[in-house]
Amino acid sequence: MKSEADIIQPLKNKQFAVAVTAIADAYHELLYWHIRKLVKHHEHANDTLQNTYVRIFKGLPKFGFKSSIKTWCYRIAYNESLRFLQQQQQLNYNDSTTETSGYFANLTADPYFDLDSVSHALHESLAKLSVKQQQVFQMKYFDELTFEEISDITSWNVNSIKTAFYAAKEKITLHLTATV
Amino acid sequence: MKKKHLHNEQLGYHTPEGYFEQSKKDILGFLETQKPASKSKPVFKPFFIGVGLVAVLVFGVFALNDNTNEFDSFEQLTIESLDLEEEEFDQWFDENFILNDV
Repeated sequence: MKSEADIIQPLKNKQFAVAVTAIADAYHELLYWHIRKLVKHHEHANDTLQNTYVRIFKGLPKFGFKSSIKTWCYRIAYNESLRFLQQQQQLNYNDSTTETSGYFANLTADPYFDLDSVSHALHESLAKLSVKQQQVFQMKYFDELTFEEISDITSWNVNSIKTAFYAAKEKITLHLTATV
Repeated sequence: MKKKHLHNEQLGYHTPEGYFEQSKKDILGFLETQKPASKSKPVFKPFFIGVGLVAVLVFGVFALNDNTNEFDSFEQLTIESLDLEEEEFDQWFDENFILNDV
């Protein structure tokens, strides 16, 4: 697996094709899972991942070395996922489903989602969180990002991220204890 | 891989067989046909801002001069009109306003 240094060196030499290949070697799977948890559906995640790579590739000459490549790529993936979700929301603006049923409708429509193999209670508890709490919890727990990294990716304040995470953790624990 | 296992086991998210290898190959293949955006040189920014400011200033000065002249001539004519007799006014008005514009 490639490291951050393997990406920075070709980037400094303006070898952008080499740099993007090194990014793919290091973060391809991580970026996919980050996007998948936000957009949920595999096909949507696949499309968003492609758009993310195009933006990364086109943005490489402008990379200012102010953050790590990893955080920068995650930020692009995050923004691209939000852009996709906004487009979806505009298409379904008159959809009257509740938040929880909408959450599950989106999941169960995906042939690459297997509800039987997982704890239904975990998804139930995630569906009950606010969007911010869901995102923060997933980035911290599944992506194993630090609070500072999440702040760089989302532009949210570190303290509000910590608050959202602990609130989410508490709600999930309560829900899982009550149902499992 | 740990991540894949975690997402499969706990969230029920699956991917088609060999998805990661194939999608990486496809995406990098597609990017070979693309060009990264060239870095814009900030040197030109102040230049264009300067040109814009000069254009606004020049246009502003001309517009102001034009309005001032118009205002001056109107003032002058209004003062002149005070010296006119009632009967002469119609003719004076035609000459200075109506015919002047034709």
